[in-house]
Amino acid sequence: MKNKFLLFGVMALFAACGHSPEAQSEKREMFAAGGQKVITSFTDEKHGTMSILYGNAIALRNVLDNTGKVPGEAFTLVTWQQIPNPRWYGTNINGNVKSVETVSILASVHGDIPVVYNLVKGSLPEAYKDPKISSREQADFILSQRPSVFP
Amino acid sequence: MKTKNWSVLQKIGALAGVVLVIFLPLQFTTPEITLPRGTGKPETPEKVTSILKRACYDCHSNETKLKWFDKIAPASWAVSSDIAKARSRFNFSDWDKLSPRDQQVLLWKIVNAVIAGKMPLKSYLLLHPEAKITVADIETLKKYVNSLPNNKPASDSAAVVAAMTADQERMNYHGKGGPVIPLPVALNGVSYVTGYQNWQVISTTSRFDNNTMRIVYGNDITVRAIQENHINPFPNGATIVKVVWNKIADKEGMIRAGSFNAAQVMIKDEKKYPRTGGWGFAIFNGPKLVPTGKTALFENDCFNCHKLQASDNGFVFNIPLKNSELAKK
Repeated sequence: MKNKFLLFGVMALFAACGHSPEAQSEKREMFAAGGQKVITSFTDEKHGTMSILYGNAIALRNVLDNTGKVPGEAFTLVTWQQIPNPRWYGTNINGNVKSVETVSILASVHGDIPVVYNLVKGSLPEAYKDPKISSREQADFILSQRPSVFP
Repeated sequence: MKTKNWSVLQKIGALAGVVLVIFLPLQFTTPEITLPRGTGKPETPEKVTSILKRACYDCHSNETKLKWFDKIAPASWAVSSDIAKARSRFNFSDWDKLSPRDQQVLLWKIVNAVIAGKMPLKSYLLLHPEAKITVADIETLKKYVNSLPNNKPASDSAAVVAAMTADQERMNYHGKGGPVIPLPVALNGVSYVTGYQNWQVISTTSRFDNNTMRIVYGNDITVRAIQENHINPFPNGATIVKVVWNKIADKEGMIRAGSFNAAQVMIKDEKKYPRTGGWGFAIFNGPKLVPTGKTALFENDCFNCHKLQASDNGFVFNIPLKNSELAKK
């Protein structure tokens, strides 16, 4: 009887969360950029990763005009493990998310424009996993990306 | 009523009669399989040629070598129909009619069909076991296609960057002014789609077979179908836009999106596109978004490949892998 209750309890827990291990393993993950749009994408063949840089409306406008840092800009860099697409030999596709980094440009304080860098998820991309590299340099890497050409 | 008891000899005689009356005339009905000379075969390394000849040439060339049982009707009808269909898809005897780029694309398609076990056809292998492609053969084919030219990204040279910048100037970026009106339309009626940059990115891909990288967007219907795993078939209204760029390798070894290559569109409408799995396909090329295809039949090329390789995925190549699949990587 006790076991039955336990079983019910476990089932209720899965039902409540909707995250049974089976459902979870069948799930296909897509990164939700929270309203930000794609600025550009790149792959790092040496470390087997692929990345998309997203930005908010201010960031999109400014990277296109190349105006430098503007308060209100927000960027998100998502880096995935690059894996072979099982349906086509010749294509790699994004796999698990390895890291999510954000950069925000704040309002200027006494002439300085503060840049806030955050590693939101995962560990630093291998390409700049060097203890000598400061978060400022990581932010600069993100801010230095040029936009892809969109029709 | 008196029933007639047939002797064994009578039964054999009757059977022979049936064969003579039905099967013998049938033998004159097999469509003729011609063996025209062809214009020129691919110049592949000997090891590759020998695999192609052994596994593909019977159907995909004019060098068809029929076995005795292939010539007996009614089986011969199926054989001749398979050969006609195979030669219409591509014919190694007329290989040089294709542009070098098309030849390269086709070789990758062939290798993929073989890896997926879709070719040679199982029905063919049953009676032609010598056509079986081994693991070692697949490795030989993979090595060969990887050695083909144009697989490498362009270097980050001034010329490439200039081309990319020129593209950028021509394009209307992220809704700045919007695309050219009227919107380009492919010959099968699929129109270029606007506003996709506001959609969810469903995947990003990097191809080493044709030196391009992509971002794949899905509309709400597509995203919901993927989230709920209702992808086989995808619901009507699902729309996918794949933006394709030529790769640039920069000095640090990063591969970046260079000049704009194409926008590829898939729109699900079972009623409008019943011949192509319910999907309307279109490719809009270059900054001017010129639709692919000289006739509406171009969509067959799209669908044949999607059907061959991604039929278990609702005919879509690049949806994210399941967590269970990722766990194995």
